[in-house]
Parts: sequence; structure tokens; C-alpha cells
Amino acid sequence: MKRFSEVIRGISCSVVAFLAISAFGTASAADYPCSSVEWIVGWGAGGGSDSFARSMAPGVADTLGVPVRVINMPGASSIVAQEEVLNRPADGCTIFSITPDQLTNEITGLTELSHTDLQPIMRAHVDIGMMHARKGGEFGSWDDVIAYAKDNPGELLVGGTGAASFDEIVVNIVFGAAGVEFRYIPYEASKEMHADLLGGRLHVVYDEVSVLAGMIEAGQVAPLIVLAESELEKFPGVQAARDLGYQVPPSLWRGAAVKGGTPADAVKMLEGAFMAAADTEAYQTFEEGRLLNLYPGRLGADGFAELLAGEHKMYADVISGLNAN
Amino acid sequence: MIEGLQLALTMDVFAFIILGTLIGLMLGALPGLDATTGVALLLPVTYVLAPVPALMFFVSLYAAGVFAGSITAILFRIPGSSEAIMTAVEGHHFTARGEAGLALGVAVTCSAIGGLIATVALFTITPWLASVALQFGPSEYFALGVLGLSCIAAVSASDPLKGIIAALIGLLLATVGIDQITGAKRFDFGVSSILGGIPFVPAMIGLFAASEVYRRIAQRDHTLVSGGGRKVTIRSALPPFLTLLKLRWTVLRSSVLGLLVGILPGAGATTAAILSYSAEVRMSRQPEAFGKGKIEGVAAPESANNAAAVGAMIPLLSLGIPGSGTTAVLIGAFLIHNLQPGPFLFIENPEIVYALFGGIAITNVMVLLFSIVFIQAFAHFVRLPYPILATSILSVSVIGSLAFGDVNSVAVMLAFALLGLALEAARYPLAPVVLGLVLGPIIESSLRRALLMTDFDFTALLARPITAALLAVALLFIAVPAVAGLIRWWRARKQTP
Amino acid sequence: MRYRWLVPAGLFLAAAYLWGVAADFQGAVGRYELIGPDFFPKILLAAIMIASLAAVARDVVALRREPAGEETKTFFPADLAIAVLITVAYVAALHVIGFVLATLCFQALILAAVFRVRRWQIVFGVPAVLTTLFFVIFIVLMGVPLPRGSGMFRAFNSLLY
Repeated sequence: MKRFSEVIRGISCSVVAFLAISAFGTASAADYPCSSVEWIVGWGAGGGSDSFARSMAPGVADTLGVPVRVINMPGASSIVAQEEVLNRPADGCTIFSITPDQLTNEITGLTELSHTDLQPIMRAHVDIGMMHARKGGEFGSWDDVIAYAKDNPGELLVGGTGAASFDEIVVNIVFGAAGVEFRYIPYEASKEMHADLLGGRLHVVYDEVSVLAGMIEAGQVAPLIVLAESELEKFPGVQAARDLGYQVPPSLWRGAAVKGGTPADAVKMLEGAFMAAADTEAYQTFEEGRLLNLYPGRLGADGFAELLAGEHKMYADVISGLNAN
Repeated sequence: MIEGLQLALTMDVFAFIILGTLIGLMLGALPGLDATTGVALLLPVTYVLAPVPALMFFVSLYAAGVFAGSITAILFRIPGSSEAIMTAVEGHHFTARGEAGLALGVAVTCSAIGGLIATVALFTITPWLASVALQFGPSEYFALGVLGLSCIAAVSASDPLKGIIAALIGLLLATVGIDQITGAKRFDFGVSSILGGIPFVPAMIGLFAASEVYRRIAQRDHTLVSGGGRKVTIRSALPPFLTLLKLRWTVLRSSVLGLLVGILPGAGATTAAILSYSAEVRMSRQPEAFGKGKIEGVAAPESANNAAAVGAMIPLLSLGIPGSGTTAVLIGAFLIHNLQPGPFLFIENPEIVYALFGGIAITNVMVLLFSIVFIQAFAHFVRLPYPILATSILSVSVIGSLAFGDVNSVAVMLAFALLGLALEAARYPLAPVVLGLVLGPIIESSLRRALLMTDFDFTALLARPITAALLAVALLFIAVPAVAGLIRWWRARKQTP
Repeated sequence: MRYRWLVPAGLFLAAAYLWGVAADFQGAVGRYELIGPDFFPKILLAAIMIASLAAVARDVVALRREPAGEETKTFFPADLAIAVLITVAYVAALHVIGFVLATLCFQALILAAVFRVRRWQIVFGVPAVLTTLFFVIFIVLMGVPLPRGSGMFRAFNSLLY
């Protein structure tokens, strides 16, 4: 019964702590201009962005000296959350979880909001993507895929999540580089896509390592190429896109931002707090567990802003190419 | 296997099952909060635990959450979670008649039985069910959706035309938001909150709970329970054995159907509840009695949604593919304990898998026991004066919708309340609207995805045996009543020339 | 009911309008044109128009056959209108004065204006209890981001949560 009482204590402690923080939150705010910070995640509880925020928030709170609360506001690939953040004052008291979706939402016209309305804080990690086939299926290697696509133009079925989404952009860059025709099959949720891959209805799927690692380990799915500059230690023998002479497509990343126009010193303090939080054990365990540390991805505010501008252009080019076809 | 079961029965684990069940019941009963949120919020707390108690805690929270939504659905017509939607359709009539105890008792018992039947399947035929789940591709989902829709005529037996119109409204509402296949914005009218589709729970709260309050206000009908007045006791938490015996085939059918739908990654417990309800109506000799408070209409979705919730564990554990939203979050619970759900788990840690199975079985019994107490507590609210109750229901409707996003979700809730009010005033059934809303995306996106795969060759879809079989049954469901109707009409004409 | 045909008639008009909206749907990527984003909605809208016309026709015929209304339940449109208006005002006020104050006012108004509760203990007591309850469950325990309002009210609510 010992562990049970530990959890009871854990739950009651966090509730009490929470009440105390909500009631006397102003007490500990020494330098940071807010009595508490809210981190708004535009995705549901339990997803990648949510787990990221929850593993990072305690570290940020420790450095800032004010509590950081993670709040889920799911809807319309985080457009709803972005609107909420931009409707609040630019005081650094509200953090927004940013992913490449902010760029694609803007480019495909889903929202009028732009990534330039936001002030980047940091990019925390990249989630490397790979092209996968069913293990024991007709494609043992990437060469098999290319050969099939050349023999059967337009017959190769490639799965990804979302239409005109990050996944579709990546798939287009890769197969464009390989110079073969294919058919992109959009999915709303990756679980259906995985079932279709295992069921032999799709030839290849694009997905991130973190999502498919378990299925790779269990021998259901085989990675064919890794979309990175070089091979990964974790997956020896899986060719890198760069080694094949392909343009390396952008990777999925997760980071934090605040509303544009936030005072520079607040941004500076947040950046410092996030950098420190990224070194905490809680966050490192999270990265390790989800294989988000296979590739260096950490960027500060300036580097992140530069990256956003560059990727925005790259995505826009691919999407306008899609529409020209 | 035995070792795993013993693991599930230790006091340590048992305590967590009880805790999980209690939290699950609480979260599930409140609209706007559900088991998925609960699992995600409490994940960090379980870092300190061993894997088995932690997973048990979440599995029991999940299973209890699926059931608890039906308590508020029956008593106040508020579907506490989306799985309880059909229970709100059918169950609230019992409360109005002063028979809430019967409906609640049947709901909780059937939930437990459905969950237990699915657990037996979990122990025995998991690998086979996993291979069945893999047979389901886009064309099969499309056919399944069509099969569900083919029951509409039965669901609205008294006036099929109205049923069809109601279903079309639901299907049309399902097209709102970003088109899954092309990324086009559809019927969004510049509101970003509905880009991801009509938020389901706010819509259902509006359609059922808020519209009911408005109707009573409009008719100055201020007694929740028309029969017994204020002195309603809900004592009979367990239904009479004879009632259960009468329902045996309904429960069995619905549990199996729920299990089969639950294992599909592209469907879920809500779809399972809806499909089993319509199948039950379709099978019934008195389809016109449904929608007015028929006990089979509570038993079927309740057995099915719990069976489906358990079934969702099958693709998770044997393929590593979550069968539902909550199981997707459960992956997080596995990951923080360095366990990777999937076939590997069966090989590496079989005792954990069997402990989980055992835990699920225990949870279903626990839900049964605790619900009895929990229902008693809720039953007190029924005795509150209606003005206070109505104020609470309207507030919960608004807050529950707010919890799903922003003020626009409340606007959706209000719009659906008015829609429900208008439809019910003109005697249109609401069940087909729900059917259309849930099955719409399954039908449309799956068909278009399937056609993309075959390069727009529809005959290639019919060549797939499961697709063809499901569509044939759907055709039969539509054709048989139509032909029977024609024959009856022709005979009647002959007799009275 | 004499006005029953209004529901399908309204549906017909709404469907006709939405048809025009659907005609402008455009995919974010122009590649899946064989069945576009407007294909399925247009089929549904056409079906709704046909079915609702049939329903209008049937209701009108029924009206001729039995002109006397068989409805027995009385209807108080004013009560309904007030209740809906109060709810709409509540939703609008959420952004301005925040969740706590808006909910208090809403509950008191519903009790007093719609249900004509005259005892002030109930009109003020019940909202206080209910709002506290919702506050504890949704905000304190579950951390749901309920609106704080804007300006002065935002500052006030930030003290609470």
C-alpha cells in the first residue's frame, strides 16, 4: 500500500500547491513581469505537443520564479489557440506552442494569422521523419520503391497525415528529388494510416521516428530512408536523404513563442528559462523516451526566427508547385 | 497468464483500480471533461509508480469514464461524454416517466456485461481480432458507414421521410470544416473553431440538454419527473433479473458488435454505440417504440460502448495502433514506464499484458459496484426544484462547451439547441441527426480515400469481400422494408377495390 | 400544427443558400479534382431540397384535410425568447466581464426572469453556490481555460485564477 499512499500524497500535494499558487501567486514573482504564465497548447491532452509542454513547463517555472500552467485549447490545427494568444496582451504572460502547422495553415489560407505575428522563443527539438514500408512486404529497400514507381508511374501509394499539410510537403520534396510519380493519400489520423500500411493497402508512409519507433522495434514496419543530413546512430543502415543526393526536406519541430511585440527583456528572460528547462532531467527523459534527441534541434530566439522565415519560403514554394500541377 | 492475473489482484494494484474508477466516474459524468483529459492530466503523477499499478489506474479511469457519461444522459439528458449520446436519446424518457432507476440499473449492468464479454475476447482471441482490424481499409469503413445509415428508415419508423431529412441534416453538418482529402475549407463562415469540424460534444449538449431546457421553458413545463412529482427515489440500482434475462440477446449482440467496431482504429466507442442502437432498432419487432423510452435502446448502446472501449485495447496491445483517442493517450502512460505498447509487449512482458486484461475485468465489476453509490448521489439532484436544475443544466451546457475550445463552441451549442427545439417541435427525430453527424466523415472521407487508392475505380472497391458483404447487407436493410411495404400496400388495395 | 410546414420550408431555403456557398469550395491543393470538396455536400444539399419539398407538400395537404390543430400543449414564446436572449447575452458577456461574474449574473437572471423566482435568497444564493462549484471543478481542479474577460475585469479575474 506504500506506493498507493505516495500517489494520494502526490495528488493532494499538487492540488494544495496549485491552490496555494493560485491564491498567493504574486508572492514569488521577483523579476519576471507576470505573476503566472499560461502555456497554451493548440492540441489535445496527451499528444506530442502536450507532452512536450508538460515536460518543459516545470523547468521554465523554476527559472522564472513564477508558476507555468499548461492549458490545452485544441481545434483547427491550433488556429484556435493561436487566435487566443494573439487576443491577449503582448506581456509575455502567455506562451504558445509552435509547430510547422503555423506555417502551413498560413500558406494554405486556413487562417489570416501569420507566423510573423509571433515572437519565437526557442526551438526545442526536431522529430526526424522517415519513409517506412511494411516489414516483409514487397518493398525491402528504398531502391525497390523507386523501381516500382518507375515501372508503374503514378501507382505508388504514399500515406501521410493531412492534406496540403507538413507531411504532404515533405513527401513531395522527397519524391520530387527522386524524380518519380506517386499518389499521396491523406489521412486525418495516423492510426488509420498505420493500419492501412500494415494491412498492405499503402506502399509507403511518411511518419516521424517518435511515432513509429515501437512498430519498427517490433518488426512490423521497416524504415527505408531517413530524411536527414546523415545516417542516425539509432538506425544504422538506413540511408539518409542527403546521401542519396536528395534535397533534405524540413523536419518536424516543436518550440515556443509569444505574441509579437512582447518587450525584449521579457523575451530574453523567457529564452533563458527555456534553455535552462531543456537541460532539466524531466525534459531530457522526455526527449530520450520519444527519440527526439537523435538529431540536434535546439535553437535560440534569433536562430529560430531565421529558420521560420526560411521554412516559410520552402513550404510556400512546394504548395504553389502542388497547385500548378 | 496466471502470474499476470495474480499481479492484477494484489492489494496495491487493487487500490489503484478503485481510485481510477472513482476519478473516471467523476470526470465522465461531467460534460466537457472526459477520461482522455483525466489520463493526460494525471500522467505526470504516476511517474513514481511501478508500471502495472500506473497502467491499471488509467485503464480503470478510462473504462469508468466511458460509462459515467450515461448517468447524466439518463437523468438530465446531458451526454457527459460522447459515448453516451444514444443513451441520452433513449434513457431520459425513463426519468420523465419516473423510471430513472430502471434505466440507470440496466445501463450500468449492461455496461459491465459488455465490458466483461469484451475482456473474455481480449483473453482468448486478441491476435485474431487484430488481424480482422487490419482487414479494414477505407472501402470497408465506407461500407460500414453505409450499413449504419441504412438503418435510418427503421430508427424513424413512424415517419421515414422525417428520419431521412434529419439524417441528411446530420450528414451535411458533418461536412463542416477542413475537408480531409483536399484541405478545402467548407461551410466555416470565417469561424476558425469549426474548421476542425463541428465540435461534437458541444453540439450534442445543445441538441439534447439545452434544447430540452428551452422546450420546458417554452411550455412552462417545470416538472422533470411527470409521474411521481418530487418524491422520486432511485433505489433499485440493480434491475430485476427478469428484465436482464429478457435483454440477453440484445446485450450479447451489442457487445459483439461493439467489440468489433471498437477494434477498428478508424471508429470508436461512440460509433459503436450508434451502430448497435440502430442495429437493435432494425432487429426489433416494434421499431416505432424506440426513441420514446424502450429499455433495449439503453441496453444496446451501453453494452456496445463499453465493449468497444475494451476492444480499443486490442489494436493498441497487439499492433501498437491505438483504437481510440484515449488509448492514444494511454500510449503516453506506457512510454513513461519504458514500455512500448505493441506486439513486442506480448513477447517481452506478457505478465503486464495479462495483468492489464485482468485489471480491465476487475474494473468492469468495480464500475458496477461504485456506480450504485454514485447514482444514489446523483439522484438527489433530480429532486431539486426544476428552476434550479434548469439553471444548472444551462450553465453546465455553456461551461462544458467552453471547455472544448472557446466562445464559438458555445455558439455552436446554442445553435444546436435551437435546431433541436425546432426539429422536436415539428416532430422530427433527433437520433438520425446524430447518426449522420457521426457516420458522415466515415462515409465521405473513407470513400474518397478509397477511390484515390484505386484511381477512381468504384468496381475495384466492390471486389473487396468485406466491402461487398457489408454493402449487400445495407442494400438488404433498405430493400426489404421497402418491398414489404409495397406488398402490404398492394394487398390492401386488392382487398378494398 | 398549423405552422409545421415552416420547418421543411426553412430547410429548403437554407439548403438552396448553402448550395451557393458550396459552389465556391476550393481545395488547398488542386490535385484531387475528380471528386472535389463540393461533391458530397452538393449531393446532400440536393437530397435535402427534394426531401424538404416533399415534406412541405405533405404538411400542406395534411393541413387541408384537418384544418383544426390537434396540438394541446400551450406555448409561451416570450418565455423562450427571454431565456435564449439571456443565454446569448451570457455568451457575449463572457469575453467582456469574464466567467465568474457572467455566470453569476446569468444564473440569477434565469431564475428571476424566466422562472419568476421571487425569493431573493434563492435568486442570489443558488448562483453563488453553483458558480463556486463550477469554479472549483473546472478551473481549480481541471485547469480549463475559462474566459477572464478584458480590461479592468481581466485584472480582477487574474486575482482569482
